[in-house]
Amino acid sequence: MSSRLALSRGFSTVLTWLSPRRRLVWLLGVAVLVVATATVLRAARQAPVSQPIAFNHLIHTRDLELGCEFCHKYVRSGAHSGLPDAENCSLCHRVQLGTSEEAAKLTKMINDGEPLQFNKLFRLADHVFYTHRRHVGIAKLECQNCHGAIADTEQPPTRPLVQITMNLCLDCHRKRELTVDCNACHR
Amino acid sequence: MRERARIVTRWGMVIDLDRCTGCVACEVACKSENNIATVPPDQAAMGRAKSWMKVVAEVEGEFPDTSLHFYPRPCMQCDNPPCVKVCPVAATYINDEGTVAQIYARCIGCRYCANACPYTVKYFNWYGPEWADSERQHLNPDVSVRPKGVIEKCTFCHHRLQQAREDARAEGRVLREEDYQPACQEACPTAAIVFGDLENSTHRVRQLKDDPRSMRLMEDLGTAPKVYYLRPRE
Amino acid sequence: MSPSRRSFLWTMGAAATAYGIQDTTRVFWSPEPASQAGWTPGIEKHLTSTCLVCPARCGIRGRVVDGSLIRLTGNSLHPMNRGGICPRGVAGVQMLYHPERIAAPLVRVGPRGGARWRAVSREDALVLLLERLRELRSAGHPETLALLAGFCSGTMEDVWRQFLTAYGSPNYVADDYQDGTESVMRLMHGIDRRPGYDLERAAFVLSFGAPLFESWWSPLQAFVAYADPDERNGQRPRFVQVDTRFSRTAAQAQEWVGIRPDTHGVLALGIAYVIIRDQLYDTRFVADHVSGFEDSIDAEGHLREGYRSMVLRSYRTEEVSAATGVPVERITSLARAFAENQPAIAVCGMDVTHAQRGLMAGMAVHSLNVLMGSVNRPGGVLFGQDPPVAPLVTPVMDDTATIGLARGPAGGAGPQLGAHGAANRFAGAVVDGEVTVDTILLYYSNPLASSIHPQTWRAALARVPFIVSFSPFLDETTSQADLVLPDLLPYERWQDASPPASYPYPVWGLARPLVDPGTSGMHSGDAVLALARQLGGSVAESLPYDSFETLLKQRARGLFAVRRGMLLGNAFERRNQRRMEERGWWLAEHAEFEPFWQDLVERGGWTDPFFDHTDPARLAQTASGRVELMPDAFARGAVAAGLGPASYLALDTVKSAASTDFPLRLIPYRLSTLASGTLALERWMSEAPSLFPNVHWNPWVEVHPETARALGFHDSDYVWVVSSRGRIRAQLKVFPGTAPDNVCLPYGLRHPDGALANPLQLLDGDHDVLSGLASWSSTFVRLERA
Repeated sequence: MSSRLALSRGFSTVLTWLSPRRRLVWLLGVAVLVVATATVLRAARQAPVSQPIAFNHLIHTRDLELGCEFCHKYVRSGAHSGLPDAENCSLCHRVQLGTSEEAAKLTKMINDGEPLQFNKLFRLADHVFYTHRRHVGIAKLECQNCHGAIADTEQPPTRPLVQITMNLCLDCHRKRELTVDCNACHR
Repeated sequence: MRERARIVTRWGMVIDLDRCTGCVACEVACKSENNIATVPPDQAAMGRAKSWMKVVAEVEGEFPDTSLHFYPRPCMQCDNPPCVKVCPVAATYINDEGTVAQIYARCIGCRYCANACPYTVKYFNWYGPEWADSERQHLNPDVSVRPKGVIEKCTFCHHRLQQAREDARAEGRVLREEDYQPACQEACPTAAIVFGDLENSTHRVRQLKDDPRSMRLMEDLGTAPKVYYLRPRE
Repeated sequence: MSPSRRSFLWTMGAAATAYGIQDTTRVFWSPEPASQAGWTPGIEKHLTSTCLVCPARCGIRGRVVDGSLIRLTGNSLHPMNRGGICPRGVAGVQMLYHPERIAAPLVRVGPRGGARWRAVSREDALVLLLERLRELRSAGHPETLALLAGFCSGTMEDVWRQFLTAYGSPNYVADDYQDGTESVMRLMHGIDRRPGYDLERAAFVLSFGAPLFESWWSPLQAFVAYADPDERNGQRPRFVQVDTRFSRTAAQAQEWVGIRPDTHGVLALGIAYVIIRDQLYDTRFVADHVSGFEDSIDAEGHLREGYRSMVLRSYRTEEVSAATGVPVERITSLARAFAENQPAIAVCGMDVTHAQRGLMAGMAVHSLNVLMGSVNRPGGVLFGQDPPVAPLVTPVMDDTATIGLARGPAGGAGPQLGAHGAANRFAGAVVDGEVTVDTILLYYSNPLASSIHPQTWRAALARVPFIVSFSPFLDETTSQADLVLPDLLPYERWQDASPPASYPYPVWGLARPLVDPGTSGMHSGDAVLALARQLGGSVAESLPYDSFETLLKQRARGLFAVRRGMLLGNAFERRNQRRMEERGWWLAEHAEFEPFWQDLVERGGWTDPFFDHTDPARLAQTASGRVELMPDAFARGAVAAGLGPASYLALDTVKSAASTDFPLRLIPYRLSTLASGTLALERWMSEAPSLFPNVHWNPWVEVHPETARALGFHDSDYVWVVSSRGRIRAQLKVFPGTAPDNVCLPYGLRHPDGALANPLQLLDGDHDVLSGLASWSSTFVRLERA
């Protein structure tokens, strides 16, 4: 209690010391500084994600009509949806398909036996326990609920299309009258 | 959600002291299930070892007329939990099914709750957990590894409830009594630990809690624990 | 009112600051996942196996997530543990991922014990050993190879024995758990096997110092009898514990009888006295199946006193009470309870036989079972049989092997009445230069830590030019090795693992890899098979198996062909099977071997729940066909050992006493939770090794409160426990369940620096001249402040 008092007293001392005009300048200065720091930290927090192959979701989902589960194998059964590996791609790409440079690169990688590791784009913090099984396998949610229009991208996005925040989860849970018990996700 | 919660569920435990042999399988099973790290010897000597489930032994009398009583002591999951009242940040609270939860990401480590708990079942992480790299392989992916500076406690293996519900829904059936077992109950070689819904008349805990041998620890404090003990028969 | 420029800027600035701060909090309060790089799908498997951590060999199930072993639980189909598991079994995950595990085969660099090693490949390590073995054979001295087999049973033991036989070495030296009861049974029943106890069907269990719920052969077998006796409609046997200290078993038994050390046998005969005096024994069984009960006239016309006369003459309750410290009324009521609650079993624990008159005391305890006819009947002592697996091929011995084997085992055959203590005799023979040993193989044996005579072992090992250890951890003895070929850990290897003899029904448990073994170790069984293959000739012919796994599969063909028993199943299936076999029926579940094997692996093993109580060969295989209460062989052995024409009923011949230097008697005991020093300790076990609330990571000694007060010690003080042979540092625990003139020191604990605190190394070296077992409770110590 006393510390809070001291803090507010100190703050008012600073305010009286500054003239009204100076106050404004200082405030704007602090604001700029904070925003800049936040932006820098935010950028550091999630570096842009790059992928080994410039995968075109649109061709695979719209033109070839492949379901998400074709490459994200565990989307209905696992905690993680899974990312395709070389074996997965080699089901079709063992021979050159189409004319794109990337497809050629992929075929070469597969035939050279190089490992293919796609990088995770959407991430949750360590203290969040989420399973795709519960949301996709059982509750039958559509992927775009959380992942946005990822299926329509032609280039791999470097940042998540949707910032998955706790509010995003809670909005949906409240709307559907599902549990909002903290323990359901944090344990 | 609140509408749906009309079917009241209150998870509770009955521990039959007549069957308990004090083998501590429950303790170790709990540590294995919940990623409970050991603390260094000097810290342990200061009483900082963590054991969400702890078999407590009480000795009476001297040789050759000694008797020893064990009681395994998990979090009592009080209906009126003293720890919840003192938490300044709502990191510990009692949920709709009566389980007293601890949200590590919210906890600020003030340890008010550990001091308020009359059963001393809340454990503080004075240091970060010490796992060797090789040992990280046996960590349970369903449970977090608590960082330095937070309180941790028995959760009635809440993650298992979620898993069991998930399985039941996936198979399109209702949750059965045997689907949700905490790790201590599963490991107990003498089946001394019974777990279930205290409000469900088909569950064994419901019948056992009304047994004449039934009692609770420090009932006079009004904490209304959901862990019941059955006194030894002799 | 339109906003002024100033107020607009104020608002904007405040909003920006708020936004920025909100974002920074997210950065600071939500640490990024540590596991940024990889992801795992969380694919889960539940696999059945058998626990290899202690000799109990319980059925287990492992939860494996993405190739890592996460959790161990009991296998509910295993007939012995029925889904239960002990704390050490659970902690097995910490053994598997133990940071001190040896990462690769090691070759010593620099002086012995200097802890400098060079990692080599498995192939190179095998070649090193192979060359040594070839040299010994070509020099015509295969007997200079010795195996020290600690924790070795089933097919692994068969393979080692076969290898040594074909190679030509008689030196298979057993260094394992022993309680001497097989000697008792050989003398009284003519059956050389440790007894099985049908605890589950018994109404009364009188345990003489057997730590049933702690560190007995199979605590889980006792737990099931205590808590889940589905054979007796849920009615629990009455457990009575006769013990020198207030053990955990004593605490949980319905009754504890505190007794003076080394007087268990006397109390047993005191009970026999009441049973005979009050005519409570099974007269029909004694008349039909027992000899030596009544007085008799032998071939030379001498009167030979029978069991009855001797007991009635020498073990009157007042005398027994004076010797044992148990009140007369207690002895009488115990005897009546034992006789009236049939079926009753008297269980003989290690405390009874590890005494100067241990074999005699063991026989005295077992005589209670004979008096009540509690042998080979439900709820009594049962002699089990090994599971009927297919045998190995007959060993082939060339001339070199025959010559080597003919030279006989180092250290001789040992005492006539019980071949125990072989390892110590072996070490003695090496030190005395009676035998030359060139190469010693250590298989789960760590004598420098676990032996009673570590100095002898140190000297013996110094005389052995080449020491090879198969241990996956750098224990005390392995640190002295020249070559380390680390075995795979449990949960990584194939092995058959049957429960100990205390469980009377045959079970063939199968341990199989739960996780990928990786490259750090090599299955010792595969290593032996590879050595045999490459040695060639008769050795290769004796072990013609590709791998240990295929060998196990081949042995299972015996189970497939035997036309009895079943794969592990639940209580209903077991009962059903037993009822069928009682009526002489048997139904084949599998027509082909391959699905039988798959199912066997899936369920964890094979068992036969039927026990043929009508088979007289399971009661006695003596010359007379009767149970010998006064065996002639014992009398002959006693004369040979220099005890004179003693009977085992003359128990009170040895006295050991306190002195002013060493006023307190040392009672060592084995802890349930800990091992004997050959496998690493798990951190969870070391942190909380006992029920004492403030004992962590430390050996401790239990002292009576009065004794502690008289000596000026307080709880948790550090003390030296000093005997004439050495001292151990321990934390003093005041415990009123310890007798005032005893101190109890648990066995199997390590100091925080990893050194084993072994109370057996304080022992004065007394042993039973008849059986060879060391005396555990005849040593006196004093406490000094540390």
